Amino acid sequence: MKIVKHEIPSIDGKGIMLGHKAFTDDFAEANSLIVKVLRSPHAFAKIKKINVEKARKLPGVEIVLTHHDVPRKPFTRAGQGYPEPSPHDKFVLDEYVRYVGDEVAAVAAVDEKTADEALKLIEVEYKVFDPVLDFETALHHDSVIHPEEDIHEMFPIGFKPAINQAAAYHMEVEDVEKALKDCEVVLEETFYTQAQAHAMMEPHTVNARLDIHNRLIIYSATQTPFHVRRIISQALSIPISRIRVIKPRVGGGFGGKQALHGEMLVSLVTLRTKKPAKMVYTRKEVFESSYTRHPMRIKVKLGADTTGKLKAIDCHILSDTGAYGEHALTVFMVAGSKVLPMYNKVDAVRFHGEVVYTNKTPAGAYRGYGAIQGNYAVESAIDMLAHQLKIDPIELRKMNMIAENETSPIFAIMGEGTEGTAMNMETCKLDYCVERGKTLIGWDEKYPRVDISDHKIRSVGMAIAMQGSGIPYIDMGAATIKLNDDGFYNLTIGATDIGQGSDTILAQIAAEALMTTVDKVVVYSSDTDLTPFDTGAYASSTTYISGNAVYKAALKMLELLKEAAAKALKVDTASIDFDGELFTSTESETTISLSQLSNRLYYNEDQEQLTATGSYYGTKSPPPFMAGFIEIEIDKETAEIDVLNYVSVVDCGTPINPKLAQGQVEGGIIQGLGMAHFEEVKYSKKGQLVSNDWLNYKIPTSLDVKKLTTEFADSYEESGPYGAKSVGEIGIDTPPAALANAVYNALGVRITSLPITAEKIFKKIQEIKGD
Amino acid sequence: MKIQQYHRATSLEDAYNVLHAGSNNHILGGALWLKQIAKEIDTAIDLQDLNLHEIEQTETHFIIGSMATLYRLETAQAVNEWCDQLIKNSMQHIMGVAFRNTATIGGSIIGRYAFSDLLGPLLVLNAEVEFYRAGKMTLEAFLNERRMPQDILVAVHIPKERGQSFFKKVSNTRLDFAVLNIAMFKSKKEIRIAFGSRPGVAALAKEAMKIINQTPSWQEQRETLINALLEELKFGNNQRGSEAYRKQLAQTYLIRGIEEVMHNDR
Amino acid sequence: MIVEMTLNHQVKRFDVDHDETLLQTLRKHGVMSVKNGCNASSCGTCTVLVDGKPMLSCSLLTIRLQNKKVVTVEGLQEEVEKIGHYFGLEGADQCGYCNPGVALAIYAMKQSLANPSSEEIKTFLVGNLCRCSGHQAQFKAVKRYLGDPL
Repeated sequence: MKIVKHEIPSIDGKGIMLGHKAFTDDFAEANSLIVKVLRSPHAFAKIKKINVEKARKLPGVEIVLTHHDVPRKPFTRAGQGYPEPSPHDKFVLDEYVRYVGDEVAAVAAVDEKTADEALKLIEVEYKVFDPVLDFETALHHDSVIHPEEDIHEMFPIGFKPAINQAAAYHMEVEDVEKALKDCEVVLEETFYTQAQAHAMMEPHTVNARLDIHNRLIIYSATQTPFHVRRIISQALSIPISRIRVIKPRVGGGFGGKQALHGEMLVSLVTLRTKKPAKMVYTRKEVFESSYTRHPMRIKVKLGADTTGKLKAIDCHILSDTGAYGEHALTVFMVAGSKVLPMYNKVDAVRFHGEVVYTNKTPAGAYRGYGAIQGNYAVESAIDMLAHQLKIDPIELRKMNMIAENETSPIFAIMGEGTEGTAMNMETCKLDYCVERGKTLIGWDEKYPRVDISDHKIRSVGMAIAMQGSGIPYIDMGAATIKLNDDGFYNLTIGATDIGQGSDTILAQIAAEALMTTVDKVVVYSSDTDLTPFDTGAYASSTTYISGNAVYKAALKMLELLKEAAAKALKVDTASIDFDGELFTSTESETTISLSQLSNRLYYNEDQEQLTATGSYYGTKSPPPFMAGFIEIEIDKETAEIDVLNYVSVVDCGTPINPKLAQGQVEGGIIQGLGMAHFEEVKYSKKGQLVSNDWLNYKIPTSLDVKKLTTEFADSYEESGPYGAKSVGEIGIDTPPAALANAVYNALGVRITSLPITAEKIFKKIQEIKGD
Repeated sequence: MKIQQYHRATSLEDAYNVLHAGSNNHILGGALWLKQIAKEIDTAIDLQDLNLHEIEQTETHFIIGSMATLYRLETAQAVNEWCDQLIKNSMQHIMGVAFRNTATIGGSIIGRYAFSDLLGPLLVLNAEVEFYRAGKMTLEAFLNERRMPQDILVAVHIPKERGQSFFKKVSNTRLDFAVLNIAMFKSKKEIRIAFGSRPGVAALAKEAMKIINQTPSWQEQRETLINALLEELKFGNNQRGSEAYRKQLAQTYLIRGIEEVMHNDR
Repeated sequence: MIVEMTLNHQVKRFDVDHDETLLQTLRKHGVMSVKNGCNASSCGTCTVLVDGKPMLSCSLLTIRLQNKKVVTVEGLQEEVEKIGHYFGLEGADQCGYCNPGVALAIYAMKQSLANPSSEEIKTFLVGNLCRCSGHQAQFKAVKRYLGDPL
């Protein structure tokens, strides 16, 4: 391969750094109305009265919207395929407010100051209810968060708003209770994972205007432009053909921009005023009023025999979806479906639980999407079992983990909100990943710990992980390749580059297939008018799904090119050889260059526009795998932790662009370490999200991790484009369990709730001393 | 944030008069927290023309103009040589360079921020603050003042004293506000120790200082030392850490800090 | 109130409100490289050079910048081109939202620190937050840029 598996620089990185217009707000009309939202100060209340007269009269205010002024049609902002596996439980504006930061009203004014002033003039009288803030008491709570009658599920997901249940699920392979009873060793533990904030650098941003056809043209920082178009159409009851959504460059998403944010309000303002309008979330709004990762309580039971053979796994999860049910069921299911199949040799396995509403910031999609939560619990429990059995935790994993050509019954049972898809692991280099990682971290010399001074200990810990590559039979991507005169191509794709580099790697796939170079493939992506459909950037789908679509389109283009060349050379198509630049007929030994052929096609003879479209949907979701190893230095007295090294050995099939793939893994590792170590969305006793700026919500910096060591396993997934699987999420999964395991290996204390702060470890040590 | 009037002061007297002309008039330092702290200001007073951004030295003192930026102080070689890099070490993990290029020493002191990483080091260096009207007072006295003076901070005076320093910021991430910070300075005469972000504002551990400075064999007095510290200074709870954890950190780094400044002296 | 400053090597006059920040002024006048990440002095995406020093434009009142020299990447294209080149080689580009600010910080570092150590480099750049990357690729790119003979 000449282009794929080569380190091509990002095709747009330099242009962005040079400061060219790139992001959503860079494209807002200079005279846009500024849209601002009045947000609820209460965790749970009903708007008794709302008076906006003073605000409306303020000079410069163009429009004020309350729940009286917007269509009442339940929908979900989740940004998923249709029908969605998330409950339709949200209104553009509602008479109820369900968390501190929920939307009460919106104003649009000529400038920011006026908009802010107008917000202050809105008078609201609330009836305040007792909020549900502890998700463990949410089910059957006296306060019903969604009492409204017109909300519904799209198909059965266990939606029971009367008891604050957004979704529920149960699956069992064989009889788990019985299998556990027969086990010689049973390990049982409860784990808690926290809400994490996406904290992408670009705030949620959207702007709109009407064009000369009176159509609504929206620029949005979104991961799902096609879903955004559909959802706006449905929620606002306007024909979908009247809407165009353009996604420019996005300044990071991590799942946080899969769901919709200001699109509905900005659209309404533009539709009603006929004027361009824009909204940029404040950083406080990004923290308080977008989405977080779902906090979970995970109860794990592992059963094994004394040799370490795992016999049964039981997993019950209670998940907190906050005020609205975006991704409620699916994140929760992935906590099982992308974790439990790793231990596929068990006799029995059960996964069940509930997803509950609380009066907190809604939870939504977030890189790792359930897998990181489930991974922390199961991979911690596996280490605990190993210690109980006095077996090296790596040996225990090697005995029980999934291997190439194996399968798990869970694949067929659990999908994302629906049934799953049976599949064999055509590629699974987990065994290699574990062995290689073990060597790179120096496990044998360092496990479990090395005393390095009076105060400091070094230790190692590890975990394994799997993800998926898109959702089979649901996620689809499409690509169109157009030949231009002189022989360069346009590649238009629905796929959504949110910084992960998909425009670059999709251009590489096209260039490889067309035997040309990346500079001859001009990429344009994510514009609902101009590019083909794509479900969007989520579920680790772009490389595998959209990449396959590009590959198919390129093969079709090659056929078209050969046909045109044959016509030009007056030979049979079968006799044409093409090397990317020159067509040669084996029949007549005549040639024509791509450039000549293209010019002929557009200027001279047999004029025809050559365009090829490829579409792809997965019939399986080949998981990438990885083994993650952490080395830490920890202070015996204060439990302060320094992360010295994080080794990742990843099987993602072929890394289309090894440097960008490494960036995906390492970015995931760092985000995962943040969640493992210190990131936490915190609330006051009244339900106010208090970690609402970057002073109180810290993300890892270059000073917080000393070294990352990343390698890829040699792996080729036949079903993927040039052997690729996905790599966008896998990196985030292992750090929480690896860190927990390393802390245990250092000090003998098991931290069962995230984040694993120094203080938490210190307290645990004190507790043990006190006992 | 709203600012009705902007006034570029022509002299300290002028600035002082404008400050007193209205209760909602404010002096601008680096103005980095302005948006968070002040919602509405009648007159914002800018001191940038008053030549207060220099760092000068006399025989006995460094005089840091109140408008000198943190980064300028951090990179002031002479100051840091004298204080054994204490100031530089304490400032390196405050936000970022761009922040410290704007934040002023005056703004950092006048705010008496409880989370400050700088106040502890200045305390142990026996720094004094100079106000336009009220004149000079020790930083310690200023931190203990109950009311915010309606005066203009002109400069910080740091005595020239050679010695050994120790600084430790314990935080969840390097850029986070401290769970606790500890500054020590051992001059020829004595060891001075301050704890900040307890979460209260930085303060000297005077009782512990007394013991260590009066007891030649301090190693035998560890318990007494720790008890004196914990009795004198209040350690409490906030979002970043609990009282119990802060107390552990305080005693651990009290001992380690003393060991380090003693050791480096040899 | 009228403020005169040198913006990207050209003298400009802006009529600004008393409480207008440089970030607002710049974006209003089409300098789109300067990004709003937090508007609270915490993230570095709004970094500009004022008299050669990296500063946070979200917290600078434009009115205080009379006669100052302000530079954004628009006024430093050649140098940023080089930095961008090494970012490309190291695969350090992800979303890029922080990159114009990062580039200015890197350039300022090169001007002010001679042969910085790894720790000094990290300490200088740490205030420019990045949520996408593992920081390592940028670090390698910066090292290569600092060694750039050009």
